[in-house]
Amino acid sequence: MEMPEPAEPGQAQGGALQSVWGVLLAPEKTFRALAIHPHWLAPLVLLVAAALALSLVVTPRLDMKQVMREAIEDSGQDISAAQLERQVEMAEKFKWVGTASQVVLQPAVYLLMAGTFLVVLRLAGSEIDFRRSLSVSVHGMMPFLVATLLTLPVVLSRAELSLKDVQSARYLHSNLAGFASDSTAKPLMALLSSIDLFSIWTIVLLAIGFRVVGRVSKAAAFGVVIGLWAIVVAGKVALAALF
Amino acid sequence: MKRGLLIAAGAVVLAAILVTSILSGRQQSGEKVYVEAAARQALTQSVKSSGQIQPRIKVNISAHVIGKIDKLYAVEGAAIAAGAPFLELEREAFLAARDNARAQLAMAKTGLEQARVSAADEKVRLARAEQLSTQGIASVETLEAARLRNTSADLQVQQAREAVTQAQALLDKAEDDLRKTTIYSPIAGRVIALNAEVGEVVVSGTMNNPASVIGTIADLSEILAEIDIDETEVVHLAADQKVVIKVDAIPDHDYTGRVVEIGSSGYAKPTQPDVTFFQAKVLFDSPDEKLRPGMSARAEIQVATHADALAVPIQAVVERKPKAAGDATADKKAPPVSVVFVVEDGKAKSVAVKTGISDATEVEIVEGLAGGEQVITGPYRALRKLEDGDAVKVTTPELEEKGRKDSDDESSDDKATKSD
Repeated sequence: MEMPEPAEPGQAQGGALQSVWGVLLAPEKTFRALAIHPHWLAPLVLLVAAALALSLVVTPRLDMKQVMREAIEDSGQDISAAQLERQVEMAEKFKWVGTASQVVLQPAVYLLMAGTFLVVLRLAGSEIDFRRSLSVSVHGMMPFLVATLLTLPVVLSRAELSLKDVQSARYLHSNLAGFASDSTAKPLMALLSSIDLFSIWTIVLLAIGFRVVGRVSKAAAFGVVIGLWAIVVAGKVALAALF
Repeated sequence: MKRGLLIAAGAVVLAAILVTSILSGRQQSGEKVYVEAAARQALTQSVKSSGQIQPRIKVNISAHVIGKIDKLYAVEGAAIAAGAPFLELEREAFLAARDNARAQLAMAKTGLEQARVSAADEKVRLARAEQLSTQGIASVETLEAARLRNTSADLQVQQAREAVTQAQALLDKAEDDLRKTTIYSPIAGRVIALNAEVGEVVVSGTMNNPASVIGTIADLSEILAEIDIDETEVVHLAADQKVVIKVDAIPDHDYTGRVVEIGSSGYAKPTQPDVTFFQAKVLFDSPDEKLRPGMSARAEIQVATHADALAVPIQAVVERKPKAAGDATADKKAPPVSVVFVVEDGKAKSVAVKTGISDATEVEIVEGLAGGEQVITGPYRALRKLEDGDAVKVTTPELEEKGRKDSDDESSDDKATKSD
């Protein structure tokens, strides 16, 4: 089935911010509109801005010496106090580089995500194009915008954050990792943090979105989204086990 | 309606997540710290250092005359009595020298007699010449000549007398040198060093030449440990302080002693040229035969003991800048003061303290604590940045280790499962 040509940008502006809320409150209706007028800039900007804001409040709360010490202990390395001091100095100098890099990294991640969904859906028989795939991807991630907005006051209420807090991102009690202790193994923590209310919400929205916009069956849409999510989670767990 | 209820329910869930996350964060906040109660105990401050075992009395044996060793009575390691012969040098040359001196003395005495006889003869001639001169028979010249000959004869007697004295002195020296060919032990003790053998030529030890030392006798009834004390610690030392001495070669026995001497001038070791040491001598209370001069020893000198000191672990005492009057912030101009942190109502409270003596692990608190307070002792990373009023969570190293072990066990189980 042929995809309708996307409307001119002027036509989409009026509904750009509406679609951000609309996808949370009335996802199917919103995705139907996006199928006709796909757009992605507003939600992408909001997602990047939220990630940047979170990084700006998390970074000052990190004790770099403690973070480095914990990271080195976790890696099993044995270094001298002088070497640790040098590594801490380097980390202090470059900690804001990580924050600034969100401006580039976040859009890159969503572009990659959209590209991956495009390839897999095409293999599943959809005729979706990249613009629509990107539109569904960024709109489907709106639950994480909500999560980031909820995380900001939680982080602001804490004077200091540990390395484990940052690694597991367990600020919100929306995932099973929020109930784990500091001594929980890293792979398990990675798995628990992935079983998250906002992740499940995102999976549902993406599946609805690709079903509506990509015009595939419900089973295919959920299969693609859940399958790719499972691969990402497996990768997170494997990385946590290795490092 | 249904949609409105769903949205409301969703909002409630999100609000609940936010509230529980904030509250949970506050409960978890608080630095994990270890605590120990400040308690009274006996505390001994010690100065520890190392050194060598040496006998208190030690005599180096050297020869007074040059000669070849003929007999060696001393055996290294054996006991020797005071006055017992140590060695004998070859005597022939010294005997010949003595006999020569005796002969020289006899000749001198003979010369003296001869001079006396000549002098007597000249006196008789002089008397005759004087008599003849008064009778007008002998001339004035004859009388003058007789007088001169008499004076000369008297001088020859005097010279012969001096020659006898000189010959006697040479005889005395020759006899003394002969006596010195036998060396006797000046003290009772043990021969701890023997540097010569029979047949070797020894030189006299008058120039303090180490090469002239034939042997060394030491009185091992009194043994010292000569300890090198760092200049920063020597000020705490005093005579008669008790010492526990561990000898490296005798690990199963600790000796006791007391400080008997503290050096007044410092020195540096070749291996530590920038450090100044002072020597302290520690006398063993009950030395035994196992101790040998030159053995390495470590001494723990008890410089102060308080039987009922209020003590906390050393790491609990940290330095902080005091707060300026009427200000919550630290007064940056003031010098830092010693403080300990005590736990009160889940918070760290900074208490200024005055410290006293300390041992390896504990330090006395003289002022600031009453006893029984829960003093924060670690971990170091927490104490390093702890400030007055910070929230703390009391834990123990065992709990932390158990948590780490459980985590490691889970990781290794996961890895084992994966490898299967």
